[in-house]
Amino acid sequence: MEFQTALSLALPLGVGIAAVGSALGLGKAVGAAMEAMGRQPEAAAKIQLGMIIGCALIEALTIYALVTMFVFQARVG
Amino acid sequence: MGPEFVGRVIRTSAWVAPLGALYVAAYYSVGFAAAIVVGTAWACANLYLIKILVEKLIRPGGGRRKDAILLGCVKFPLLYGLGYLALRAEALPVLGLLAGFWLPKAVIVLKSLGMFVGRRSGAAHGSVLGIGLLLLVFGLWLAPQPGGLGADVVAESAAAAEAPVEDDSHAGAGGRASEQHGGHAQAEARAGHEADEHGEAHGEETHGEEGHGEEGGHVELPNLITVLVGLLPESSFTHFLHKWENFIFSLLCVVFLGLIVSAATRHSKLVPGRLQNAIEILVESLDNFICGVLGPQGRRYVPFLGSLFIYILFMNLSGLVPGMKSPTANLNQTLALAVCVFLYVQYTGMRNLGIKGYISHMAGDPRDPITFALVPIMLPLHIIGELAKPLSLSLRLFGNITGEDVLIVIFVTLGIGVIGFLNLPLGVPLQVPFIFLAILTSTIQALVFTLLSTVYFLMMMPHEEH
Repeated sequence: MEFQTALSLALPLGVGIAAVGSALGLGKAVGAAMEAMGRQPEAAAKIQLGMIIGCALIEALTIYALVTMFVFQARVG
Repeated sequence: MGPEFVGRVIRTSAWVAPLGALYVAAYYSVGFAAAIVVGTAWACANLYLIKILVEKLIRPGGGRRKDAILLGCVKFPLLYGLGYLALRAEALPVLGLLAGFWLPKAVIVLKSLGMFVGRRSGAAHGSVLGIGLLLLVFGLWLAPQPGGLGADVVAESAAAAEAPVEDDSHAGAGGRASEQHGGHAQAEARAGHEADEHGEAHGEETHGEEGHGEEGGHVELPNLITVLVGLLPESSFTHFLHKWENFIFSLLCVVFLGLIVSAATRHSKLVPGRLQNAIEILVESLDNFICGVLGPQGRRYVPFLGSLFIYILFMNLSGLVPGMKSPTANLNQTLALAVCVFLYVQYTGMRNLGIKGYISHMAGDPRDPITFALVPIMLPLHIIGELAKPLSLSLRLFGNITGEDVLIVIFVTLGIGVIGFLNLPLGVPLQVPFIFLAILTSTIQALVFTLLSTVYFLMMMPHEEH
């Protein structure tokens, strides 16, 4: 197997696995935020702000996987 | 223009000289850069001593002659002695010393010019206009040189255009091709005249709807500069512009923001007009947000963090304007912003906590023997954590913005390909929903960058619980 084949197999798989992890984490975070907003609707704005920021931080790890994909993508040919 | 003008000139030279020296050290030689710094320091010391001398001689209650004569006896031998040593030192080229010496003079000229030109709008605009004039002169000097700065870039792109001749499967795209051929660009540029014609033919095909990136390999939508390069491929000026396109777009963003803000604050009224009202809403909400995190002492960081937010937001959104490109889609830009934040945070930590407090903060605040024993673990851990912060900031912003750019490109390609059988220069606008997504992520990423920077500032301030 040449390295191009190996890369073409590995890169999308890597991003996909990272996406699974991030989807799980985001689901938990947003679910907890929804629950908190349901309990205390008057704090909804603060909770929403915290949720957006938490989601961006969780997403960052998937983005690292994506950036690695960009770095290697030029070598796939 | 009083004695504080000299102080302003010295402060401006004090930050322009290291930046210029850094640039010179990276592109020319370190000795030249060191000479520039030494020359500027000498000239600033000279200016400062002259200012003190004049102040002592011309005081309202009669000059203090003795002080002035003492100062003169110190200044002349010491300063000129040091200057003589600097001139004799072999490591510092004389041209660099002279350049450093003339730098504060150039700053004086530009500031005065700026204050003169901008005297109707007030002295605060003086330095901005001065720097603008400097950039204009710099740009005019660099631009129309056929054999000058653009020449190496033209050779590179000529080699990249010849690449399709060699590799059948990839028509002129990708960093891999230009990386491989960049090494023997000279030989190929000289050797292949008939290869040049083939390159032209292939170049026509690849100059389609999409501009191929020369490094990194992923495609981008065409912006004004790549269109210029496509129209005038032989001009070295357009290649120069293409090489600096991220810088030019970020500069455009800065100029645009500066114009808006200066128009809004020109004649500020107590009952504001529409533009001033909008800017005040923005500034006030940023102020509330940042002071909500940092407390009332965070007011001094609001200019930096607020400008960071507005700047990043505008840079992200400018990628969605047809004909422009978001500079934050380049790792260099985001890394620069993250490094600025990192350095400012460390400086704030050192200033707020003191050097000892800063080091103890890095070592985990050792109090009792157990925590003292843990210091060899905590110190590297904290240092790596601090270094990871600018890395994560820059990669997060870069990855998000590049990701949304690539997403839009793919849908544009799809939209063009769907009705490609018609052979018309049209496309279905399939990318419109993703532009809305891009607006959302641009705003969120700017907010997250700013909020994380704010939190890093918060962690460097003295807090009780640890």
